[in-house]
Amino acid sequence: MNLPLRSMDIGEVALLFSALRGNGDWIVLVVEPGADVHSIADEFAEETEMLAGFSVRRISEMHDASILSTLVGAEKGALVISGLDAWESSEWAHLDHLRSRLARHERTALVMEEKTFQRIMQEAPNFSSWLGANVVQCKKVLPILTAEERERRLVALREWSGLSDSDVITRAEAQVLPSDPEYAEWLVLLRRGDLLNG
Amino acid sequence: MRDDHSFWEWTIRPGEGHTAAVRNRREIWREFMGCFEPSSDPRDAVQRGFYVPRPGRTLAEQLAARFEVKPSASHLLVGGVGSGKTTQLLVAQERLKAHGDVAVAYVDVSLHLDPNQVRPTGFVAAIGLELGKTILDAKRSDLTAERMASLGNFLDPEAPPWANDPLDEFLGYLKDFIQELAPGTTDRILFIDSLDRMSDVIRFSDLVNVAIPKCRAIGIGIVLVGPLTALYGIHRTVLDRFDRVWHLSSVDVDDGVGGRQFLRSVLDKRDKTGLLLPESSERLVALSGGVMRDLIALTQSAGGEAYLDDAEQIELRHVEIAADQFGRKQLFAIDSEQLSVLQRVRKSGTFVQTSEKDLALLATRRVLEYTDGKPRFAVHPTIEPLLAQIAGEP
Repeated sequence: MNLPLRSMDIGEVALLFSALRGNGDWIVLVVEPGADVHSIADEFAEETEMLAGFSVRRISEMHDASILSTLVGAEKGALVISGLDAWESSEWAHLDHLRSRLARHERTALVMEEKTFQRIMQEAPNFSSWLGANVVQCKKVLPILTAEERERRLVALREWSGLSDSDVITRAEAQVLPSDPEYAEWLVLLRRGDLLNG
Repeated sequence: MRDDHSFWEWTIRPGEGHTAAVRNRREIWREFMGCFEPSSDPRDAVQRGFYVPRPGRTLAEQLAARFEVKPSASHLLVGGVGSGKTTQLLVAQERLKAHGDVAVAYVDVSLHLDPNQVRPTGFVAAIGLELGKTILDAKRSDLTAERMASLGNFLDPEAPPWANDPLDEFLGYLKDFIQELAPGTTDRILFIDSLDRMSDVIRFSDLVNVAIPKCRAIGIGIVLVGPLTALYGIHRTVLDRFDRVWHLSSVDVDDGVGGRQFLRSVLDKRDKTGLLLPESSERLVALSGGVMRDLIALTQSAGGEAYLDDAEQIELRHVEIAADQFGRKQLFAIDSEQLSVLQRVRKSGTFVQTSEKDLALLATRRVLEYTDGKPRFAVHPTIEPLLAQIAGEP
């Protein structure tokens, strides 16, 4: 039996991922049953890039543990990896033995089905110790805020920054809005997500 | 909220723009979480000054003292995942180096081969590759390069098998490499890491029975990090091959205040910006169960919660959320048989390792063994409330 993992939406996980310093941090996103792993991983990578302002390398096919260990050792930037769900249990055991080769100075996210994470917990105790509590069930669809919740969050953002909604929009249009994730969230709440890429 | 410097660093000060404050806030949390990385190289932690000696005489000190008396001794070091074995090796290495006249090297064999597939000759080849690399990094040596190619070829899974076992030839390389690295020294000690990942205890036993006497014969002392499972079952006779077996258990947080103080000082050393409230530190220490890596991981995760919560410091509720998340992960993939064992340990503190599955509970830190004070077993504190919930207890 498995207790449900903590459920978070993609934006929240991306915010957390971007707030890590990234020196070898690993995180696992377990998708909900029936969800498409690759599209969740794509969305997570895009969301992270948007919030964090650094680029993310997306890898969607990974044949075995040896290739993965070689690749993560050689890659310098942040990685979001899917395509691990076909691995047999023995492959995860092999990855566990090679754990030292996975050491890197950037952050790495693995996106997978629940049965795959179950294999990690059964076969890879050394690797899973690196994850700490960074394992979440990932919701694809952002929860729809009620009008009241939305307004409460906007009030908090206004108080926090000392700016008004129109100040934020003006600065975004002038492309002088800081790239901090709170401003991205603010624009989305104002339904001006179109300004995010400006 | 504390009225101190750390708070004011990200709060908007009169006359200061909001952007600087926002950036400060994220940078401060990033910096904090960067000091609590469960997967960071223990060498980085030692170099960054995060090392805090355990209470009493540390394992590193004891190892160093014993090698001073008997340099060709062999020691086995076992402990659960994340208990701090590598850190102890690195600190012991530094202590021995400081004494001079001793050649000491740290080798992670898993960088060259799969620890679960290791045999004596491959083991010696992996050590040789690591030592040879150090020589080549320092100066050009054609002979070393040639020998390195030979060692590499032996470990290449694609290469054809060798007609004769080159174990003795490789041991000769090893002896020469050490001589070249530390001429004039008579004491040679190798710290061999990562063999704790061997799940095949028979293979581990075969390795030790051949490799340890061979290394001893050429005057090399060894500390081997081996599997915790070697302590139990019929193959524990392999322990007789070692002069001493060291079991690095979890720090007992319930046995007096020494353990708790030590773990709190680990947090204090890393929390440079004062984001941890005292009660949060205390709770993190208790929830870690005395496992060093879990303490680090839980603290980082609590920091993440506080950041997402727009909080200015880590409060108890952030710690509890992190612990719940950690515990759910730890209980993942547990079968009904293991669940029964965990419930028994939780209720009675009794644990008898009779099967591989039982040992897996120890190795994965779902069951913790304390040996520092009064020997005892307990379930990991983060899974305790979840187990009670599963058992339907209020």
